[in-house]
Amino acid sequence: MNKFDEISKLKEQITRVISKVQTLDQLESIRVAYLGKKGTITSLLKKISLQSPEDRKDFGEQVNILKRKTSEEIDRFKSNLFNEELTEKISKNKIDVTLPIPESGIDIGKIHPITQVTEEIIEIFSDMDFDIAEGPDIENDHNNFNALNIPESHPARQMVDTFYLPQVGGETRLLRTHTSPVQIRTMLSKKPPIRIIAPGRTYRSDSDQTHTPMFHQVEGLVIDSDSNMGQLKWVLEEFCKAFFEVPSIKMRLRPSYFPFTEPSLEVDIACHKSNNQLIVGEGEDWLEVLGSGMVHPQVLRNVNLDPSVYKGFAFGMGIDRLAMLKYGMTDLRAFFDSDLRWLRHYGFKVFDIPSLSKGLSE
Amino acid sequence: MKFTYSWLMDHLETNYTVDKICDQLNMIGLEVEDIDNPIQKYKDFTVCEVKKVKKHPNADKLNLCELKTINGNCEVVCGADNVRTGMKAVFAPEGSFIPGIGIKLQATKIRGVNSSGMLLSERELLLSDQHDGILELDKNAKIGDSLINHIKKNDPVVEVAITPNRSDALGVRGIARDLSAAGMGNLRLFENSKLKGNYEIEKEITLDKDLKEDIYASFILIKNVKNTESPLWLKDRLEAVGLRSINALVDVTNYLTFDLNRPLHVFDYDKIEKGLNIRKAIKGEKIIALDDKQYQLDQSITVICDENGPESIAGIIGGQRTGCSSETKNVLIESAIWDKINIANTGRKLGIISDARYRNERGIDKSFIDQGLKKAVEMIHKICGGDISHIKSVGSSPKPFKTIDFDLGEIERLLGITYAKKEILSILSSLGFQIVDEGKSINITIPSWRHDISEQACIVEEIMRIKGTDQIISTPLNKSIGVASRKLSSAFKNRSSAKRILASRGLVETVSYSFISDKFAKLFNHMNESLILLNPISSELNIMRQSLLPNLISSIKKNNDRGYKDISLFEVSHCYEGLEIQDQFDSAAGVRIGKAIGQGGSEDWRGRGRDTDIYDVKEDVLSILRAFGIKDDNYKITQDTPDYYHPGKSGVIRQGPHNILAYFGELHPKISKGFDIEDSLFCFEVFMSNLPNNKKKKSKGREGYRPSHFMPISRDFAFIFDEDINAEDILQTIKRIKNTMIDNVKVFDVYSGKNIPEDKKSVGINITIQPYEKTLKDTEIENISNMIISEITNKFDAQIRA
Repeated sequence: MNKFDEISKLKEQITRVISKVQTLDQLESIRVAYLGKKGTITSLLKKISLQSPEDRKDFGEQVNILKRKTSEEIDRFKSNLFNEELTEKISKNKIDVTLPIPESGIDIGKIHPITQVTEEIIEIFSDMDFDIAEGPDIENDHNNFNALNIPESHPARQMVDTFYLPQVGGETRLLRTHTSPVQIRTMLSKKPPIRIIAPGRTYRSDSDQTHTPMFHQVEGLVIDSDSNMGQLKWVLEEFCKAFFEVPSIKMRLRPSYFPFTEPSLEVDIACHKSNNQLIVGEGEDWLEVLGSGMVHPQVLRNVNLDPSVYKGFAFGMGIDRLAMLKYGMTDLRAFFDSDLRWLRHYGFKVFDIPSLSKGLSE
Repeated sequence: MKFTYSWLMDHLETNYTVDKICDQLNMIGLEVEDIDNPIQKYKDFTVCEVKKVKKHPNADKLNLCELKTINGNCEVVCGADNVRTGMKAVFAPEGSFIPGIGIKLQATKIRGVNSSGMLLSERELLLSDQHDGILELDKNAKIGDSLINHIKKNDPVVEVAITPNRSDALGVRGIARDLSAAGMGNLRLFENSKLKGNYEIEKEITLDKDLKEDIYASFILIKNVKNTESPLWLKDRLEAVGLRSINALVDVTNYLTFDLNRPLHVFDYDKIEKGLNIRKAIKGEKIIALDDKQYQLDQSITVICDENGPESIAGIIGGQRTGCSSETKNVLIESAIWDKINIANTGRKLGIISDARYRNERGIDKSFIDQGLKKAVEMIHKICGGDISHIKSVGSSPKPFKTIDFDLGEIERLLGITYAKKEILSILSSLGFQIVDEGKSINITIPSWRHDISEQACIVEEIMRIKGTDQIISTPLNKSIGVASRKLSSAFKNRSSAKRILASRGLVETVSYSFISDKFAKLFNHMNESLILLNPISSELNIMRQSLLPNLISSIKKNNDRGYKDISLFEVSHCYEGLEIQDQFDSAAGVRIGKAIGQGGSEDWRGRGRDTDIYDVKEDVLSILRAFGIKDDNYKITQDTPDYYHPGKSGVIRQGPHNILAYFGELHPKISKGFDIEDSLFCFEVFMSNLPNNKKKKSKGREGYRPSHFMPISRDFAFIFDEDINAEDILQTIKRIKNTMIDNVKVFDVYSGKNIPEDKKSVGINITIQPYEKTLKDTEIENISNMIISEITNKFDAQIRA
């Protein structure tokens, strides 16, 4: 038989043998038989140098092709067989992927609506260039009353029920009944122009469905030489639109009375009920949301500001009440009751951080 | 303050409906709280005739009535005894709202029989408490006619909330005046009384010379009155505003209180011993007042006395002994102006709430004392007859208010709008201000009834409320040029971050009252006397908290009782160590109980979960500290926690000897017991106010960093220590070895028990060695290992385990 015929016959044989292979082991023995040290192809390779010069090139070329092809064929089969065997093996490793996974910390943890709403309010007023101020919960009666034009005998002192603490050096200590003392602290500590809001805890001895002995307010104060009622109206409109996330809001300003503002206004926003849900911004009913007015000239004098030079406006609103209006809670007492069921239902997710650029709420 | 529509019409000439009037009241600062409008309330109810009454087939006490109504014939079930054929009654159709029951009537079956409507009783109509039978109407009433035409109570009642400054609006006339100024009609002319008496009061009436307050009081005596029941119209009006009719003398004083804001008092002249003297009470004096209560008086309180002692607490409430009854023959009527502040203080001190106090402390019309008295006398005389005395007055007539120079430019300065001078003057004069025009400014005399007007801003308010707030034009605030600056203080920002950090660890945020029960304060040894509220709302809320834990633990207990076992709660808020501003501090505290949920410790199909332990709360604390840049070697942990922590299972995280950053650990079992909790509770408190202030760096840039090109090497060691050696000391000792290649030191195992001697423990430590210059040779690694071993064994008298 011609040595070239031998090569092509060998080639056929290899193809046939490989095609019948079942296992990786069989394939390995085939590799050894042909390509191993004593393998058929290996011995053919050794014969290349023995060939006559005219045959040597062709023969060498053909044997080398055979070697390469065989090697490739074995690799291909090896890979196929490996995949088949792996598939076969892991097909028995099935598990129930529907088994439930408990909530992780980030799912379980909740942020209280008061924290959330306070942060929403801060975002909005920050955008209108308001700074955030704070004052202590335990106040003296000067900051809480006298400096705000509410002297001892003033009937307005009976408008609120104040919690009192023991005196310090003859000076009355009380739990602030509103966040307005922060107005006084701010005006005494910095010069106009002033533009602040002051959120925080406030206290009145009252308790029913809409009153709790502690609640939260946010105070606003703007003092400048050109402040006026028109700006107050603009600030409140802008705030309400942004807070309730509505494009427009129907609002009503009602003249009212606060000892520390003159003129004074109470602000109502329109609302209606639809499918038992309160819709804020339009409708025939009115909701009282905040009190406001131009800072009383006497208050300015009390902090050594000249009311013929400076004027300003102030406003105050209940944070808890705003939360109830926006998110639909009906009982104020539940805010402070720490009932897990309520907290989980009304609480906010950890990463729902209020931001104007990302949207105030989900 | 309540009034009826027809009462208002006595003072205001208008064609506006009650709804229109109420809308306007709201817009001029007299807030309408309630409108009880019978026309609205009874709009669905009509006259019907009972055509036939038969027994209900399935109920003995019920009848089946065939009615002829506005809607034709229908059948209703009725339980009233007085229902009978031929009677005229009030028919309520389906869909109507029954005011006395507060429900909307639905088509219904009563014991199997259809009832398409209802016959109403007086109570169901809120006409009276009468509920013995259905309301029977006049037999001539026309079927289908509206109920409103057949009842007396058809006068709408309006309730307005009067702010403390507007005492003048505590009378119907004051409200009418405001409405008239706001264009809602014309204020009717007030006819001054021309009453003249014909004799002098015999008994002496005097004012104590030592009284420092400005007081003016006038009296008129009417002899031989017949104190009868009041006429019906008077009774009805008083009843409509919520007052009970007593007798004509008392009713007239009440009427004038509401009508003209003129509180009055009537004495039974015959019961006055000798005469009346207005003076300060003497400490120890007592009075039984008209409310049947006894009050202890003192020298701050102004009283009207006779020989027997105080007979009236001036301007607040009269005394029982000289009060008027149906037997009163001779009546002495008092009208006065008292010191507002004294009335307010006395009222508060004695805890008396009366219509007189309410008005007198807010201020009444200074020039309507004698006129008001005469109006009352006229009314009494008309009802009760009698002989009228001359007026007797003591004290000096009140001084008028100061005038105000008003710069017209103030309106624009405060409101941002301008009005024509003519308009301004017209509004002010319709409110009763007298004006002298001085060109650019005007001189304003304040009406004798307006105690609230003191300066220019008050005048601006008057213009604003009468012109309407809808005239105010929204004007944008200027914004700073460029990008906004930071707004929050570090303290605020830190609290905010701490909340999100804790919530991300599975704790749920609570917000609780700043005051707690002294019971819990005692338990925590937090009984600071200066923090006790003088007037707490209850004994459960009577002391300011020094720690957030008591409320959190109470909440755990409450939720436990609702069936929750695995609970993690936190609060970030204020606590108080004293009454000064620096005594208020911020704390972030949490409590965990049950399985370590959210920490991978939940019970599920993989296992029964893991119980919370002290290291969970330690991790809570460290999550906050690390977030604020406090590294693990920036603090020390000691074990001297307060007594409410478990003495052996708790720690204090401190920086230096005095600055405490946090407590963490198991709650002392005796405290848990105090809250009636059986299981172990784990808690922590991070003192936010004590966290180091991150000093403002000039540059935000960080130190350079170059990652090493060489593989780190990991080595494990196990040592046997005395049991009371702390892990922290061991780790710190290794970290302090001066070799920059020791990169990371970890405890990977703590073991005591079998194969370890008693009072000893084995601690496994893993050290990462990070070469920077070159790959280390075995001998070099060996050297570092030996350094560590010798340091540890020497310092702690420990042994390396084979």
